[in-house]
Amino acid sequence: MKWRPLLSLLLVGLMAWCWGSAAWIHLKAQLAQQLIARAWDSTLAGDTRTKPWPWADTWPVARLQVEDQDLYVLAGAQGNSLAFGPGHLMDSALPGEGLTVIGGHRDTHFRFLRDLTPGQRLHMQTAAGELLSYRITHLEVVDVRNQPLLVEPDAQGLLLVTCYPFDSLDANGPLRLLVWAEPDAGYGLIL
Amino acid sequence: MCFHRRRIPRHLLLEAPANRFNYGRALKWFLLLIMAVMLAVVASVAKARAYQEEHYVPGRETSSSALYTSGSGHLYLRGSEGGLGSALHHESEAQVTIKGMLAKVVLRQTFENNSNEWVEGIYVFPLGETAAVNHMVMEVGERRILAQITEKQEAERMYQEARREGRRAALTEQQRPNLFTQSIANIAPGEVVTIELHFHEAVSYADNTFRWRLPTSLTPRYIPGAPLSEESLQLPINGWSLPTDQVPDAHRITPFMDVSKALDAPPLVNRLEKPRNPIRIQLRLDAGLPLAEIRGSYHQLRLHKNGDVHSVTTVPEMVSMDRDFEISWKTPAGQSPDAAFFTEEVKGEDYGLLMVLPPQQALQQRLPREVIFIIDTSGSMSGTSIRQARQSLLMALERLQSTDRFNVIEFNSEHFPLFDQPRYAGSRELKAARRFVEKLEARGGTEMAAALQTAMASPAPEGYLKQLVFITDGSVGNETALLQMIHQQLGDARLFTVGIGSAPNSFFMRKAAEFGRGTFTFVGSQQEVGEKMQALFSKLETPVLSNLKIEWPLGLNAEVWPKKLPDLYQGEPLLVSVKFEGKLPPGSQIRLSGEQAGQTWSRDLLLTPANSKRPAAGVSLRWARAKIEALLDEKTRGRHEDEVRAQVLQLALEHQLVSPYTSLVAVEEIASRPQGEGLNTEPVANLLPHGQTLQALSYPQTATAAGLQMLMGMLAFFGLLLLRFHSRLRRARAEIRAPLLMLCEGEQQP
Repeated sequence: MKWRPLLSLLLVGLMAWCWGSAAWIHLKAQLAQQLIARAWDSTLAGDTRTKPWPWADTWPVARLQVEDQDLYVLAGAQGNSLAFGPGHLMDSALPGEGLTVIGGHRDTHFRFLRDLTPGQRLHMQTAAGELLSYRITHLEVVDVRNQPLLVEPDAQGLLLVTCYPFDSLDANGPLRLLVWAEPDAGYGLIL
Repeated sequence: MCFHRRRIPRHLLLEAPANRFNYGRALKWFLLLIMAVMLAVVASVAKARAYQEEHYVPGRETSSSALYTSGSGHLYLRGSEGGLGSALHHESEAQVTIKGMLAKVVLRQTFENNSNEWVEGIYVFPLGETAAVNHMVMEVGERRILAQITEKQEAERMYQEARREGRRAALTEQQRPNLFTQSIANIAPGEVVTIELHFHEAVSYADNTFRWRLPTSLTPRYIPGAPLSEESLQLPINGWSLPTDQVPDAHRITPFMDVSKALDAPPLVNRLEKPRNPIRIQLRLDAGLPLAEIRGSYHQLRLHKNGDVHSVTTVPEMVSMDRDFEISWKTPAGQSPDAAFFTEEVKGEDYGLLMVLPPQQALQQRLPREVIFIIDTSGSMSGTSIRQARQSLLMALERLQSTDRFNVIEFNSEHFPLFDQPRYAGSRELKAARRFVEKLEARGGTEMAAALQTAMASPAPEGYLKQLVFITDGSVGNETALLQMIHQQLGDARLFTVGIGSAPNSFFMRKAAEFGRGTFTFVGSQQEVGEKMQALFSKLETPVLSNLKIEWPLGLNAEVWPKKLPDLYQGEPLLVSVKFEGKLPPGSQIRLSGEQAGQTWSRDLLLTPANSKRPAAGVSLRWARAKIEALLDEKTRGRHEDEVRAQVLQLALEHQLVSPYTSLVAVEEIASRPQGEGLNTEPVANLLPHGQTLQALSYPQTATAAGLQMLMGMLAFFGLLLLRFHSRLRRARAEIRAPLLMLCEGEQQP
């Protein structure tokens, strides 16, 4: 009978495609950060909107450090940026200019959010090279369907957003984990 | 043929039971695996719920939402030291009389102190940028106290003195030509105080449509510069911004905003509640012309015709002050007026207001243009504004021809040009521009200066007309500095401003266009984008009328403002105020001349007042207001402030006008507040303009399909394993079957 090898082939194909694309998501997330590092250096040197690779439609706007995590934050919190790094929500303020909202994928860059606790410090470097420190005030889980994200125009601080729960299979779930951090005078060193 | 299956005798199979694959068991395994996966999913969801309940804060009273006060649903952006200003309830009423081209407005603002303490109310409110405010009355119960026009500092001193001594007082000050402050001192607990303001304004007329506009709220303005040092601060500060080096009066022009309307959160705001900061508008329109159409631009109107007069109210009668009120009216086609003249006699002197629509041909000749589009993508543009701006800009790009050159500059805290240099509008460039525009998002500050400078820097190539199209809400506090910059650096280019949003800073936009020798186009809603932009395009593409001159009759001494007549674009009338020394002799004739596309023309006009029977109230005030504006423009152009101040002061005092150097102040003679009791200062919040979503951000989508794909891969892997087992079983069977087949063959041989 012919269906057996056909089914095998199909399953091998499916497996390769699924694992391949899952691996690609993670690989992209890791590799892109390396490329962005170079773009960030030239941003610090005075360039604006330096694209990490020629066809990119995003550019690094900040560098975020938490514990052993060191991430470059990209402009825009849509799919095209989030695949390569945490994304700065364009409607929110830039770091140091108000309340900055940064989103990241729970499977890749922002997986570490689940280990954060209130009181921990976050460090941020702005495109102008300025170093900022934040202290986590609290974490909360919200349902996007009935809890809009409302922010005072003159609020200060940092808000990290990722999907919740971390091990969910649903890529379009309604829950988000919010990590609120306030500006902290404590000075943090960025490498 | 032995391929049809034969039943194998059971005893022959007894040799191979160990190799037998149990189908049923494999299926069970597979099911178990799926069950386990499902269980894991359910467990993680349950965990999420538990976490959410544990960390859930009712009403989300987190650091981000100090917005919420308890109970009433009154929401304030930020409290002052005296707490959140909910003690003062505020409502307004506007009685408007429009006669011909002049509007007289009686604006009554009522403040009710519903606290148990004595209160001082401070309310920053917008008016039209040409409003001539000349009268204020404070009403407390039966008493009416008439305000006096006084030099600004002296007025402030009188007010503060009364405030300290416990006497009731009211002060109306001008912060910007379109922004005023009303202060009311010593309102007793439970007391209602009404401030009655009178002002006059000319109606605008362009593209065959008359319009009159009443601003009701303001878009929070961006304050550039560094905060001034602590010592130099003069308390109290009743704005959300501290004074800065670039905007020393920032705290006076940044009133607190009430955002309750801006939050689309049904459980928090009861929509059936009557509008907050409501206004009632009653308008009598006596156009003096047959009318074909009366329209409310942003409100539904109820009309009632009474002879030649139309009574107009809004539906519902009380509306929220979250968007400007605008009424427009048109004459039947072909009957639109092309000249009008109104006069008024004050103290034996005649004043006039002259409107002439010069003959303009829609010339087909097109000059090659270099158009620089400057688009504001600051935070105040968020919400519907940025959508309108994007739409307007996309329409403008459509109009470009391949011989035109263009560039697009986006600005917020920084500015980003699309191209390094303006380029020809080829299809590739236009495509890139469209992509650039479609992706524009609003956030950050409003640093206009650098963007404007970049746009003005390079002159257009020989033979090209350079036009700057500036799309913004004008929400900045450093207007004068920007106007100075435009005046000094614009060169031969022309600046066209496009005002976006429910409450743009029309003073800045109109002045910028005036200094830039262009025009101001106002786009207030999505529906208006098409119509208003079309009007702008015809202005951009038709040669301008320039070198306008009026020759007055010999021997007649006429003081005309503005002194230098502006250039006129397609559909724009000339509007001048004039003061005659003594009486205007009947039958006087003037000659208006100008130039369009190299051709000169002139027109004679007989000065017959349209209002020969009744004098038009407000003509003299409009003249004085126009003169003050012209004097202040001279200051912007570099004339010394002291000279300007002296002239403005004299004029404002003579005509009883509120100006940058004069205020209206009303004080009570007898003290009301006992000396022992304190006084709280309550800033009255303005409503955030409709459509602004400064506060509501969207959550990013922050999950990938990686987890799901891993699991799918896993399932495929298990399926594969299952298949392997299955084929091994087949092989095992085949091994057993082989000898039998041989046997079978043997049997069947003939």
